[in-house]
Amino acid sequence: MKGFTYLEAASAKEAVDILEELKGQAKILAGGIDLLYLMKKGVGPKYLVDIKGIKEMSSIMVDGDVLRIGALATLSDIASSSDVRRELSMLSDAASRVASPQIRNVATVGGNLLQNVWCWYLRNGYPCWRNEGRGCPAASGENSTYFSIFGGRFCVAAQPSDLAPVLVACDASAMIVGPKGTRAQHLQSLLSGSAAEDGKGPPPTFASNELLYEIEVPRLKKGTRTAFCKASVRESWDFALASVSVAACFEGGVVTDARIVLGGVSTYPYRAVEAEEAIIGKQLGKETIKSASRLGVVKAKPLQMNSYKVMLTEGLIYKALTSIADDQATGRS
Amino acid sequence: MGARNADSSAKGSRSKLITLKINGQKTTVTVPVRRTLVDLLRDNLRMTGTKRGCDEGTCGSCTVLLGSRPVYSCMLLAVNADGQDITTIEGVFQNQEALALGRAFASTYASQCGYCTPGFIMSAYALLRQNPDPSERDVRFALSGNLCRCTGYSKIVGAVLATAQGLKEGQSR
Repeated sequence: MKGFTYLEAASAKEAVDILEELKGQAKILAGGIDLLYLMKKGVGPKYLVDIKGIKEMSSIMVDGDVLRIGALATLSDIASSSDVRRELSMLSDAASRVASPQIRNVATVGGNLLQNVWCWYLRNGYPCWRNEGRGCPAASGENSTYFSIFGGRFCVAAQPSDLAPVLVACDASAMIVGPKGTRAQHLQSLLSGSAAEDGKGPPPTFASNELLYEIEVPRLKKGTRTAFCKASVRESWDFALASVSVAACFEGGVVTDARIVLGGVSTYPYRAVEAEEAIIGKQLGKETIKSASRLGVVKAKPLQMNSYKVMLTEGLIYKALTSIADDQATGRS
Repeated sequence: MGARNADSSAKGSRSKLITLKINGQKTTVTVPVRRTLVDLLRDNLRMTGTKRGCDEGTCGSCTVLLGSRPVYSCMLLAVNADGQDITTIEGVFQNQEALALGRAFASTYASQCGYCTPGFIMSAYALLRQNPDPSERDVRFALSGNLCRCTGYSKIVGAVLATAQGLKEGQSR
């Protein structure tokens, strides 16, 4: 691993002060899973700012109308939290299937959301757009697994977080601390900033002197049902080839509001708006589910080697919506 | 906290004095900040039971317990273990669950070349401490972060289930 200088921050403000002073030369060290991996490959910053000592950033709590998840909460914390299980079981489901137990015990929600893409060209040091070079070797290369089926201008690697689509389906916001104080930004726009959409570098909406402090998830409205489905090569210890997160609100058996967000198939958490529109105002019957699933992938433009993911995603939407329809029919909560 | 700079003029440090409790024993050592926990254990403290395999957080042969939770010691900076309780394969056999696991691994051929075995024992031990009566699915789930290229896993899963069964019968007797 390349050498670096190590600093510890005792508070979010101190971390931001250090980031401000070091002007882009520093990275935040939280769980370190993604960061140390890249540093071992020779990609690394001059300074690491360790924020693990900021205790209040690991808390998970229900606070009025929102569920607050500190950016330092580990994936194991989320998977085992009774608050999360009760308020948002699909987030528990998603967190408990990320990577391996050893990683979940260390990796944080902040790092999971902001991790770099798992493109094997990038991870093996190819000089692409994301690594001080040009072009995207995956666009015309081996792109059968963790790559977009919904395009990408500079980079075609999929946003790798399983939690991101779940949180976007719940309209979660990121609380970001910067030199001028704290601001809130919808996770959707944070992870879909223009550069992220293009796949070139981190979203410009998140500056190098800012710190992801916590995730704020609005508590689900009464009558909301959720489902998370993930397809991967291995059942555990694998990224999603595709995932589907659904939050659908029912009134008298009819869907009044819905968010269907796809993961692993786009350079950002992809809202399948056409599928959402196809179920809003309707009862979730088999035909409705079928046509919504088809519409969910209507804009797909698969790469040379991943057209199978279009069908896979359609099938996953079908599975997720069917599970919600079953829960609704049996009155299961 | 030697490296903390309260005035926030970002100087930082390249090494740090840390205190760990390894297998119940307090150890104070100065480490370069870039040293991982597995390197500290093996190269500085000469505790070579913990294996360095892939060195990138995939294979699980470097698994140790941080508190009661299994972690990859290759993906943790030693400075981040400051003040924590670490259990390694050298110390875990003080516990009867681990001892029973070791015996079951040996007697059922759940260990072949043996390189992955310490990591598997640590993960399996963490599971049995948390869930003394696991299903086969629980075992496979708990061991999913450990790779073995010899056994094909069946013997390992079997050894863990047999250990759980044996401990349960031992208790009810």
